[in-house]
Amino acid sequence: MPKPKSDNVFDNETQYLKQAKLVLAQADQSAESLRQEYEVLIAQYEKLLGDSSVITKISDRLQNRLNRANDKLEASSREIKRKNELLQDAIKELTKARVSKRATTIVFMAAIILFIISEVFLEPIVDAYFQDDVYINIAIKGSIALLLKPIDYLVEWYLLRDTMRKTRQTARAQR
Amino acid sequence: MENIQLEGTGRTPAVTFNATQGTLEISGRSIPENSISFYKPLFDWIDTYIEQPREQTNIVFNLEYFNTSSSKCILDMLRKLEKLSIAGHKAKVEWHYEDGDEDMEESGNDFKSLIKLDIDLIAKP
Repeated sequence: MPKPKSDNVFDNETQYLKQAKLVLAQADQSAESLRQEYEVLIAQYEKLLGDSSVITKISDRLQNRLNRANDKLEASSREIKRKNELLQDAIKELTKARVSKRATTIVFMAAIILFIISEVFLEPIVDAYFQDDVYINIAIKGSIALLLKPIDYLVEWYLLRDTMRKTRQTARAQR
Repeated sequence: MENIQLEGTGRTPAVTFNATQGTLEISGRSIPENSISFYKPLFDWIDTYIEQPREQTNIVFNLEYFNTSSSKCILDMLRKLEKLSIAGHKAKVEWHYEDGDEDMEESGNDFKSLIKLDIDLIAKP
């Protein structure tokens, strides 16, 4: 039997084909010798047909298996992406809550300072200029109190922006 | 003759060919880049073994996955081992597959339909 000489898995079959071509090219072959070669060729063809049929079936099955594995991977990838988005939302909400808490503390401190300023510095001035007018006093203190909300908003916005920037920097450094 | 003992890798199967015991086992994954260069030494070993085989030869395939060219090599290997049976020696093939793995079970059946060897399909729990 011809020995495989290359890295082709069909090397044996190729050798048989070469042999058949060689025999055909030789003009002085007897009918008997041609018949023998033909029998060998048919036997090899039959074997190759059987092999090809089985290999094709196996190959198709393996391809389907790969496709199924690929489908599973894609589904897992989509699920991971969805969960990641949920996680990102949760982290954002958590960060917002944490920042909001810090902002509230800062605004509370600011409120105390403003209260002290208004009591110690503003009230004597108001008393001196407006003869201890209660309405003016309430209006000034009310305005200061109303200022707290925009301050709270600004502090929260600033802290949130700062936290997001730091998070992005950390993520970039980890990449 | 020397036995063959190859560790399995992510691409090539573990191989244990023991001429003294008459056992040939291939297990794991067979997706080598060049199947013939992996299987050629195994073919040569089988060619030598079948000249003076043990009274009973046990061949075990325990593959989880193999590529198309490997399936051709497995087929060629089984065809070589078929000669044992034709020569009147006892040769038995065990084709193991994970229980529920219909692809591997059917592949075993395909080989069985083509090879004149006693091939047992064994489902692993």
